[in-house]
Amino acid sequence: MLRWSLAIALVAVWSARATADDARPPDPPPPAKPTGVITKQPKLLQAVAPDYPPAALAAGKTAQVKVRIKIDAAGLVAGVDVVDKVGDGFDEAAVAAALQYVFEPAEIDGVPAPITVETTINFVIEQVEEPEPPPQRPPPGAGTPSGPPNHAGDMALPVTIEGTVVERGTRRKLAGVIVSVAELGLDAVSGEDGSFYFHGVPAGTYKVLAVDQKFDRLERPITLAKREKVEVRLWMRPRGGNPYETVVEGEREVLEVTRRTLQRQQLTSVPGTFGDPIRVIQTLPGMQRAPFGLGLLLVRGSNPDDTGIYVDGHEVPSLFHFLGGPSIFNVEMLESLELYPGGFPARFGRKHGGAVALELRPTKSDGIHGSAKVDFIDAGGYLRAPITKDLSFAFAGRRSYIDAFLGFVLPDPPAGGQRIVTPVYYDYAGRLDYEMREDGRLGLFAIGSSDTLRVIDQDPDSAVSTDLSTAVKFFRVIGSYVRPFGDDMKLTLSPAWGRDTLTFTGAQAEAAGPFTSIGVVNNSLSYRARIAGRLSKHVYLDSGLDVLSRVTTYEALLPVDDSLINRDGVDIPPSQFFRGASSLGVGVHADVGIDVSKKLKLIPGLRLDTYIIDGQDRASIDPRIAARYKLRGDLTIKGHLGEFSQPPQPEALDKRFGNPNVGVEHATHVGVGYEWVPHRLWKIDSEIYYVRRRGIIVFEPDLVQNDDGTFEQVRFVNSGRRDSYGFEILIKREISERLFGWLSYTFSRAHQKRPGQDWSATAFDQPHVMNAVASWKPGKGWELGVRFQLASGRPETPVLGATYDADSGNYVPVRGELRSVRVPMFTQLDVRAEKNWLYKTWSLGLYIDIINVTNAENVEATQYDYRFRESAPVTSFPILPTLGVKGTW
Amino acid sequence: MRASLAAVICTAAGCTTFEDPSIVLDLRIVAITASLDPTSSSIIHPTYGPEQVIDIDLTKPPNPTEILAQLKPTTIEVIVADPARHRDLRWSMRLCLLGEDDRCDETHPVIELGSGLISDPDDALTPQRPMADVIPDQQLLAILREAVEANPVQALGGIEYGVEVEIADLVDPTTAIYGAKHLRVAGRIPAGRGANMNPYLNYLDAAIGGIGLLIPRCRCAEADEPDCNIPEMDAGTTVTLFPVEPETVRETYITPTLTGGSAELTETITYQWLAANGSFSDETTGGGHDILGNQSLLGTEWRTPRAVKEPMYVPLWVIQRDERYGVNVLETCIHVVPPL
Repeated sequence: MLRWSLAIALVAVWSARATADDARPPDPPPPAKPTGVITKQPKLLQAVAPDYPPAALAAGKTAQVKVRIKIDAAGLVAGVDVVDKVGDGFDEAAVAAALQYVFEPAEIDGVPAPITVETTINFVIEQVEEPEPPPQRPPPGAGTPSGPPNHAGDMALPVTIEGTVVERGTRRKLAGVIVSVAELGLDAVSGEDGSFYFHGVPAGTYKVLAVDQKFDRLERPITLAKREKVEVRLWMRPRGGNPYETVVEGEREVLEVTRRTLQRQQLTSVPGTFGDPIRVIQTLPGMQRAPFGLGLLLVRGSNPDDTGIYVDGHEVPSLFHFLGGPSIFNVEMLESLELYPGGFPARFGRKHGGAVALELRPTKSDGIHGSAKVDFIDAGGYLRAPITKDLSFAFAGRRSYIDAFLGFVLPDPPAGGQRIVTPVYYDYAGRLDYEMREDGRLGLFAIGSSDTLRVIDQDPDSAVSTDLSTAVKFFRVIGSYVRPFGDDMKLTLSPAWGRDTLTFTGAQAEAAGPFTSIGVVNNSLSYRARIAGRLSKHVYLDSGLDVLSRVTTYEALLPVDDSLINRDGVDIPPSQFFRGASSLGVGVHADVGIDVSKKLKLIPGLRLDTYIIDGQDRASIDPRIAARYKLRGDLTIKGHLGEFSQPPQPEALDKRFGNPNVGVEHATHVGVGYEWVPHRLWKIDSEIYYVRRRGIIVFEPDLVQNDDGTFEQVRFVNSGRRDSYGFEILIKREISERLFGWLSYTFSRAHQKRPGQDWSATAFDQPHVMNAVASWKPGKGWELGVRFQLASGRPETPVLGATYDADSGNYVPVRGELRSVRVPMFTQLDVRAEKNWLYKTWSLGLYIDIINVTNAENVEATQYDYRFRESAPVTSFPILPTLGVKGTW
Repeated sequence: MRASLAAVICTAAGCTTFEDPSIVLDLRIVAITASLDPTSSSIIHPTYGPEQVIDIDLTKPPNPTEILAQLKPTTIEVIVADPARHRDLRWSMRLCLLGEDDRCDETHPVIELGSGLISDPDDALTPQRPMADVIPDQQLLAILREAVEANPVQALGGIEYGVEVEIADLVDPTTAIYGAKHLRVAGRIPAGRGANMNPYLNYLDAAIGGIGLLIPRCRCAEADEPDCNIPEMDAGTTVTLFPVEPETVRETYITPTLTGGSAELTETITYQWLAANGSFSDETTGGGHDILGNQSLLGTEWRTPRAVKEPMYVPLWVIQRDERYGVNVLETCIHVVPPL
């Protein structure tokens, strides 16, 4: 309470100063260019209260810091210098605050231009005792009492102007907007519910101004009659005209070395990603390019399966519809999306590659909101609404209609035959939130998806026919109870249940039942308990329990050849198999952030896991430590070293089709880097890393003889190695009203070794990967985006010749050194243009997203003729435009 | 439908159309056969060849002399085509353990089986087929021993070895092509196990518009021989070809299994169709069931070449295979004439 009072006091101090500056020129600017005339002075739009230096506060010291502020042509602060240093931490605090000021730019010769101004920031102590006394009419001659920030005027008098600040297009109530009655010099700052109140405004005609850095300045005249109270609603238009909600990441405890967070706007407007949040991650450093635009997460040279995807802490399988389709998550359901490319916190377990964390977005009882989207591939919608004041729900759904288009592409069936191709996907998600305030929050989230593909083909003139059917279904329900406790601690309890199914059937079109089939059903039950928060001024704890139980059943109708003779083409009738696999993993984890000094933070962590997989016990102990050292206010160096483990999939231990003796894979991560924030809108993050993975499970074709004289294939053994090292850098321009973007570059090498083989590049090894992303809002509702990708070609094994296998009739390639050549460099330019029309209660957007706008022929692989003499490239997407429309309310 | 789907996928993925594998345009190894009795024609009689089964006593160390005594010489015969050129060719064969690329694994013993020259395989009146014998001797025994040492458990199903064949132009070694023939020696485990025999054909049935044709076993170079009545067909004609099998061609055999038991199976026969011109509806027929339960018909349709200005002889090969390295070849010829 004391701290908050100080901040308000300082804002008021600055506001008064700014008002004075408006009336007269700021302290004399340095001489302008000889040819230029200042036609408009810069005007402060938004100030930020400085943090009072704790030591100075404790000592009761006050200060006045004179600063020189360099303002660029956009009105943003480009630099701040202290004119006369006063010490005691006041100088640094003043600079940090002034860097966050936003101005209406100065104009020279009528054109916005950079300028430098000088002003003084006052540090005064203005304590407010708790509880605040109710406003009382002051005695004659006394000053006006102050009220909450969203109240202005004489608190002793009744409210005469009352209103709410609302975002145009979304009806979102806006907090923190400065609302002024210009003629009276009264300022209020809108509250959490967007409300503001002016007390005792006399009858008359006034201009009400509303100012916020992210919105266009709003000016509205009102007329107030005597003894009348006026209610107004101020509709603020986002700068640039797009109604995107910008989620500003709050201060969070840093318990890892490298975490890259994407905000909601960045998740939806990056060209070439289909507005798909997960695919945007692929443009960050540390990520290798996935072939054919697939959603594979290739983190620092690891295989896709080595990176965990966690939804509110619960691990889920791949999040994409099949055949490279979109991700099943509606972006409206997400609060944030974070990539941990290495050295990740102990709460993410059972993976040794990287971690992708999706945090779900609770719903609110703040009115009915929604969106709908239609494009060439699918259509979907989102709806959020209150049920009671504290209970609200949200629902999202989507369905594809590729099946409708395929009918125009595929040739007609022959007379008397039939031809049906029905690829359909859909997904849905819903959540229910109950707000219990100091008692916490209850949430229930469910998500499901389905991908089906059925192909029926029957030609009366042919002896063969086709009836192929595949279905992949995914379902998760996640409960959560979040409750604050203590001064700064939070308890999260979260159970989850999931069911994933995969079915395949193959039959002749005229057959009554399948000839072959595979059915896999995976039921998982998980439970997370997490306690996180500050134990003391210098110690932060994040610890918890992580339980995952999985039961998988396999049902197959397949021909199985268990002969000891090498043969091709044997005709064995399918037989029915039922197999099952179960696993139980219990893990405990803790990361402790210790502020050793003002500059040094150490984060030791430990994760202990035990597994019972198909009756076999496994365990892993993974200690790790990370450190951050603040060299300067804008520069932090960082490093990490740790162990990570990954258990085998239960099916790999199956006695019939796997190896019960397979153990846990391990990896050691080490990395050092730095973070430099040269400007509040710019951040540079760089790291070099090395990952050593050992005990990697590899396929082994050898047979072994059992004690009973029978034989079995070894199939899987922990004898592989896979190491990777590299360097990565991210130069990021944070979201501002008109622009965001980043340039990422990764140098990475990934090698693997198997028994009997030399070291070779892994299948996804890509030494150079660069992504440049920019999005610009020129105004009038337009948003233009561009993405440029450049990546080394994937490694391939050269084919030197071929041998005719006279016993099969096929040619067998003679290959050169494993993965010793590469396909050509991949370059692709994607663009996106979006136009939004803002109406009071809703907005309409039209967008076009063009993948590979230059129609570059990018090679993904090499294909050969039947005898490996001729080759030709397998190319990636040609130019591919997508047109869509979406409405938001 | 499959073609339609493939076209859609290829449009997206940028596929390329390559040379038709069923049309022999230049130097090719058409087939390699292995026979224990080279004097009998493998076309019409079953012959033992690619596999030999010997009696061994697993309770005693193997006796090399006893093993060699049971093995018989195997003749390797290579059928070559070179329709684009008129030239002599050189050949060589090596006996060895074959690697993953079906070439000799040079880290193990390699035996030079033979080498030589052949006249143009398409023009010569006498069939020009490289031949060499695999003689059971100490060198072969050394190869078998290496195979067992490399994978003693796998060898219980049979010791695999093979012949690498190289064919090339007389003077230009860069034209070399390679083929491989797999061979197997197995112990009689289980007791009822017998050696595989090469498959064989009664004859090749042909029909145009429902009217049957006689397809002789003649090469095009033998067209003027009195016994060869090579059929004549118009350009652009579709002829249905159907292999007529003897009833006993699909052997029932016993194989040891991973579980220590045995399984009794019946062979499947596949047919590979090759010609020097024209096009086939199916380049491979027969075989087992696919994953949908379909079983391909044995026959195929061959469309004679369309753009024919002068009468031409088109060689045509049918390669018959079982799943145990058994191979048989029928070589014939069609006289294609421009339509009237």
